[in-house]
Amino acid sequence: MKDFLVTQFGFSLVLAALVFAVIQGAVAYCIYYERKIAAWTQDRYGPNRAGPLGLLQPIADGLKFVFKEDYIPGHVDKILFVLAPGIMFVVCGIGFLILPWGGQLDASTLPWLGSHLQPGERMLSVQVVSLNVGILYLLAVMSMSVYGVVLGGWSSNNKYSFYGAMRACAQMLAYEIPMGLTILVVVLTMGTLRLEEIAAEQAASGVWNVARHPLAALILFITALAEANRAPFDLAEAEQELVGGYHTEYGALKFGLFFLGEYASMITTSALVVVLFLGGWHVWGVSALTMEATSIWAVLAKMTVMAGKVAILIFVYMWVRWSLPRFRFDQLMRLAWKSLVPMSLGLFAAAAGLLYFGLHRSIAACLAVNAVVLAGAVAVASRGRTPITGRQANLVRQAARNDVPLAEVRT
Amino acid sequence: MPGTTEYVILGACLFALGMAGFLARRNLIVMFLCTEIMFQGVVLTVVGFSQLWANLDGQAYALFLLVIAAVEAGLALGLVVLLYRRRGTLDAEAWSVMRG
Amino acid sequence: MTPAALYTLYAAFVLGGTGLYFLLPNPDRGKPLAGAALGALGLVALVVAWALIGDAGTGAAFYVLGLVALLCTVRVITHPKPVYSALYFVLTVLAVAALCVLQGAEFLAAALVIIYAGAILVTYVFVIMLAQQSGPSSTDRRSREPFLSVCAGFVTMAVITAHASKALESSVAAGGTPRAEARLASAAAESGAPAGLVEDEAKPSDDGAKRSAPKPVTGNAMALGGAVMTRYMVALQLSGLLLLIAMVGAVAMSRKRVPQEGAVSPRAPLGQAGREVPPY
Repeated sequence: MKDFLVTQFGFSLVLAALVFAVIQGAVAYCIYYERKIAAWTQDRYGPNRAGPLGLLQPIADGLKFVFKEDYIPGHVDKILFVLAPGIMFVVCGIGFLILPWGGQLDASTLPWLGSHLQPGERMLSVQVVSLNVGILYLLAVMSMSVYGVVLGGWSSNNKYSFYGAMRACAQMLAYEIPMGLTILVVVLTMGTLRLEEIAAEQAASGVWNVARHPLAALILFITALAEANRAPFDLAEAEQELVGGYHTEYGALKFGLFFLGEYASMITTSALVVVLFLGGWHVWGVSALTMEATSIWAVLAKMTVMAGKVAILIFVYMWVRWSLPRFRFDQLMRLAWKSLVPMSLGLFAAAAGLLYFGLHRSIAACLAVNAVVLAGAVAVASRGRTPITGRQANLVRQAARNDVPLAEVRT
Repeated sequence: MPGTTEYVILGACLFALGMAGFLARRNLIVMFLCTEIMFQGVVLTVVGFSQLWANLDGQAYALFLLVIAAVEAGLALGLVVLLYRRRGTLDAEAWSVMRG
Repeated sequence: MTPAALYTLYAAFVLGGTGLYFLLPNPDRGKPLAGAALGALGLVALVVAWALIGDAGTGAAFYVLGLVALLCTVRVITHPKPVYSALYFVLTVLAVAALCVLQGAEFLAAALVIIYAGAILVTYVFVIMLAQQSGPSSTDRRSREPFLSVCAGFVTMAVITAHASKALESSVAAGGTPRAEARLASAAAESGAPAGLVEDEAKPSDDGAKRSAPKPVTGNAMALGGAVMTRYMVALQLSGLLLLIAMVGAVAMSRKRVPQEGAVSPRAPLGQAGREVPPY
């Protein structure tokens, strides 16, 4: 048993259980975090009754989800209605398996467990699975998460839920494309599909990918918001229009699973952004945070750094949510198909070109390419005569035709 | 190593089931789903052969099959939506005007 | 393939085909228990046939995944609700992807899940939900010529299987044993490909132990990419062109506004059939 735990397989099992448990706990506290941030944005106190600073609030919320009556409305498609939250939960819960949390671990530095090993005798990678196709696994898992939303909305047999499901479906399909393309930009730059190698490479060279491709990082962050169904892309659950969107009919534990799924996918997507663009567990100038530091304490430090970066990104998610108004659906689609897809295609082609000339690691060349793509996008956008919000296009044309000021046409 | 014969048989089963479904079902969308099943059968077969000959030709074919499947899905679904808008039903029998 | 295996296989096909005939949707019958029983017998016979063919090392994973794929496929073509059909097809795709992983085709498996389950089937589900919001219609409850279609399908299967088994055997006889390990060196030499091309393929996919061991960078994805970008360059370009054509075609098709026609529509005014509206 003691020896099994220091083999890679046993270690992976332990790590999977550990990370899963930590993420579930983190999700509960993400909700607290979100409510506090919302309160801070809106100049309120936020939860402050249960426990000191309201810290017991997530536990109360969780207990409420568990102890409410698990009600299934009479008009729903029962099988899919029960299945949908399960799909959401499972799919969002298995994405993190591929994420590298802390480089390599020298098993001999483990207290008690590794006492019989020589230093450097057995290296474990702090990652549950290391797949040859690495990041494609994460893309595959994330592309499955749309089924939870769509089935939940459809099986509820309620038109608001159904609209939510249709919106989610179209949105996920649209935003998966720029997401995949920007990920491919990183893959081209780094020359590997393995996330742990991407992280290690950034740590070794000290150059985070965001310094090379800031535009790609921004696009990836935007699509990550959309894939996690977060504001301003939460059209699928727009309260003002759709009651509750796809989970209108859900309550108690099943609603809680949807909720867990949403926050877990927030954690997974922001961890993805961190690994691809923000150097994973690396910080400059700290000797514990390099590839060479493999002791258990270094690994713990790396995991803390990684978790801290993820927490910062999640803060940005919430900040965005409580600052920006929601898109209208046509704006959402236009943003994806007319700006993000062409820009990420341009970046992808440019990254391939840089690779051809051997300049793919050169910061100046990469930045220049990003600037060119951004300038092109701005040029195209500013040449268009119609307002960027889109729906008033007819009014503008009408005003131009009749030669009257736009303000008069609007009234 | 996993046996190629078994993969070929499984692929043939999927292909035949897809074919039977294509002929038997009347819903246009389910008919196209059945063609996708036939693609899956072919994918299994070529992957099995790829392993048999220890090269990547079969897998490359399977990749191109994926391209064809994507093209087919896009066009077929566009057509189905057009047909549905015209007749308000997905029944393939609604379009049997050419039957003698 | 031994005659015993072949006859078991044919028995499996006959049983499965008969079961499928009863399982196809038909509103005049009650629950198709007989069909389900026959189909299950057919699956058992298929497993026996696989076991009789018995390439060593096929393993339990193949049996489980193969049965999942088959069962889900049967449900795709027999389920009266199209949404469930599409969902069962998602399961089929996942099983097929897992079978690809067993054969060392990891990139292909990921591509199958991303493209099929993540994009194509979501589109199917989307269209099904748009087009059919109110329960199963008569279209899905009655199948068209179930007997003939089952016959056609299963004759196809028998022909494929018979030919494939013969071809496999003759190729084995001609080329010695074309198994991966034996052919590894010659395949690399013949194709003139770099050794990395077959490196990942040749390993039998064992689990557990190998999974987390650090591997060289040249994995299946890189090898496959090499093959596609060199030997299949023209095909790659052509498939890009094909995708472009399909995209243009789809956009052109869906932009056209079509008037709704036909008496099938519930909104057609009564009493006009046969005059302005063609009678169908």
